[in-house]
Amino acid sequence: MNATVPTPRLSLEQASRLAEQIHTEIAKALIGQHAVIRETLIALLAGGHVLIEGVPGLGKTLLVRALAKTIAGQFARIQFTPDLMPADISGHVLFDMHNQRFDVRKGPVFTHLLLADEINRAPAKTQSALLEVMQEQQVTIEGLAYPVPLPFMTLATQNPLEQEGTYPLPEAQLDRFLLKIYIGYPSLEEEIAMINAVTNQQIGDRFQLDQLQAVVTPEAVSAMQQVTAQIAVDQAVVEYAARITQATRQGQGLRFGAGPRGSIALIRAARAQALLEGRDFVHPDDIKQIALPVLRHRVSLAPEMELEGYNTDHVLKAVLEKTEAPRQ
Amino acid sequence: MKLTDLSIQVRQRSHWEAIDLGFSLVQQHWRALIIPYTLLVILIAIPVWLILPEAYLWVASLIIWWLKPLYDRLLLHSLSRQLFNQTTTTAEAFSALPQLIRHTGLWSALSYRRFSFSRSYNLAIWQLEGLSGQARRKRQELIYLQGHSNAVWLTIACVHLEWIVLFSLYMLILIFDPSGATWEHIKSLFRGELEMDTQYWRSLLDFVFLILTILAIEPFYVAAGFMLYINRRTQLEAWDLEIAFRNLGERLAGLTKVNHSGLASLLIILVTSGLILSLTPPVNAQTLTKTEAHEVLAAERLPAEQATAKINEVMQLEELNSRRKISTWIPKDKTAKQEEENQLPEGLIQLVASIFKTLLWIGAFLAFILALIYRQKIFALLSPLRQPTKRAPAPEVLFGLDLRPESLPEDIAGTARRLWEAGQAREALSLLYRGALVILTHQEQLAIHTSHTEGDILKLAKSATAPERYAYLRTLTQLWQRIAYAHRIPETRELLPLFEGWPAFQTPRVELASSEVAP
Repeated sequence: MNATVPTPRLSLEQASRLAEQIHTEIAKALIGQHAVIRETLIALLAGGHVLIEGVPGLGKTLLVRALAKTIAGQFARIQFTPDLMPADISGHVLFDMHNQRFDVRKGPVFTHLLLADEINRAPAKTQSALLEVMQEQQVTIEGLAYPVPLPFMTLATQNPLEQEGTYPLPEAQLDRFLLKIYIGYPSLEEEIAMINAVTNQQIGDRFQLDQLQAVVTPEAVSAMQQVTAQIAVDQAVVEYAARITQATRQGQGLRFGAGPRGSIALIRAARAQALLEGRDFVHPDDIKQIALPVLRHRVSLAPEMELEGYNTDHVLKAVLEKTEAPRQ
Repeated sequence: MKLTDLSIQVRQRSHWEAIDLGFSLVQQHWRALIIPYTLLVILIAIPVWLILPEAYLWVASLIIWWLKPLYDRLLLHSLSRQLFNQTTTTAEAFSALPQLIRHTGLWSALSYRRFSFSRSYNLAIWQLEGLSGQARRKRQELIYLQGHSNAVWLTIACVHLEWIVLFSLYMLILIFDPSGATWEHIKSLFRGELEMDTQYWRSLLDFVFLILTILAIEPFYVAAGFMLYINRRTQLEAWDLEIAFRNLGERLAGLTKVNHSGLASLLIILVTSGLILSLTPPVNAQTLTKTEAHEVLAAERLPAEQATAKINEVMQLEELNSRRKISTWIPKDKTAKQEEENQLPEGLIQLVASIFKTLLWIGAFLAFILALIYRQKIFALLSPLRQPTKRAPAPEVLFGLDLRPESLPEDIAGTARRLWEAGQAREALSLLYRGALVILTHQEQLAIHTSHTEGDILKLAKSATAPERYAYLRTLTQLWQRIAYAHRIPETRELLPLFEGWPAFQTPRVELASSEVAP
């Protein structure tokens, strides 16, 4: 593949084509899981962060590594454990005896792609260390703000099975994630293709990312984000997004609904969705298609619904079925 | 509070069942309830009657009625203890009264909450749970989620019952009053003409009747509301499951004890029976008759032959074998004799029956052959029965668009083209899209809801329409979305195929005035 040298200013077609190339490259490593790759790209283009939930061994780390390789960006991984401290994430100041001065040691958050692996294994204090960097894209160490390199994206993972000894993410933290992505088991054909890819003349079970090429630079990703932000959104579509979010607050089966950040996230994600389809405007289908990953972590299921075996997706689908679509 | 001490059977009940249970509870424990309650009412009524001037006796009635929340608290105090099999004496009930007055929200119940329609339902939250402020409000909201309307209807029903009892008491006096003074009094109540000399006694009568009515109905009202509350808590806290698990736990614990203590005895029994079985010759199970099998199981039962003999022996006893000859008159059966006379010969009857039977078989065979020949027609006749559910009629208005066929111009494509040429691009595409929706909803019977986006409609149409029609609709939708959401007017070369393709899109079915469509 010819690695195009992206220019800081991109047209919609160029941005869309680059996004497609990124998708194709990641799909070489993460076999199947097209929806997961697509939703991760949506978050990247919208400048958001993702929370990925899935059982171990489905390729969550591989997804992040492949994405970092494809965008030629820096990648850091933090394994969240109960004894992890906030300074282990953000960084700290040390006194340098030799030079007789304080040196700032930046933490692993100073990267393009940050993988917060099993984020719910660390207590809320440590989880909250990510709040500032996710929202403001800067880290304050000893009163001084240090910006992180852009584009910055946090990909946090959590395991839905082992809930013992975990700390559920607080609502304020959850709200910071643009999307919550479910990663499921691959189909039989996909799994066979994966086995062949991983075990072909190779030691260990780690997927070699050498065959992946960097198709864009971090600067190009920033330019793609700018193109995404300029995609037109009609007022009727904005009202539709707000109506859906409002409906989650009034709908039965939910303990509480999504806040205004949910409406904003819907529009941001819908713009990225439109860009992936090569469109320069958003229509209501974009909102509807992206509504579940955007809203599922911003609402809380009522206990009685949980007891009856429903999940947030069931209730959100019902909300979407009841919310009037815009008509011009 | 021990759930195992409950005197009622705890299970999920409907709200009306719970109210019924409350009434039963009063019937069951009326002795324990009525004495302190009556005493309290009388202790309030007598001083009120004595203190108030004669002309203001009606105020006494009002006071007695107004203080109902106070009596409710005493009743609930007794009822809540009766529910857990604790009998409350009159002295105990009265000694709890100061506590009930101070800590159960009585003042609000006697002032701004006096006219609450769910007084008996929420009383337990105030009195038994002892909640107040925000906690009480939250608790009340939770409890009110179900059963609140039933509590309101209970109040309305009890008010009516009170009126029925009150008027029944008046009717009772009316029956026993030959002078007609009671009737005059009842009439004067409605006319407002009260005679001053007898007014006092009649007001006293009203006062007594009101007390009797409250004494009769209020316990039922409080108990029914309380049972509604208990039922709601059973739903919320799964009391029935808890009791079931407790019983199960006790039973299993008992079994474990028996198993441990009786292990040695069990071993002895097993060894002994094994020895006995080994010494007795084996019996082939198949050789045992049913009776013998029972005899093996029940040693006290006699074998079949001996039992018959024993029964015959018993039946020979004089007490069981007394036969009497009784003579009585019965009407003569004339019809039987006539029937005997008109009786046909048996052979003739058999012959006719055989003929009919043969004819019936021939008829059935012919019907089968005819059904086989005319099966298509029969299936056609039965087809309406096979589609009992008719499709819902197509919507007339959807997401603000008028989707009645008559609301569209006769020549949709022509009108749209004229609008386009007049520079009204949006109106032109809107008309085409609306026309397409009308065709989809009326011809293809697509169930389009207000929540369906353009993409959803396309997905629905994909499986329901022909590929050419779907391709046309997809192009139209894309152009419509572009003008609607991007405010970008399409090129004429993009729109022309839509105008030209409209008749083909419209014609696959001719139900929608195809003759009126411009070529």
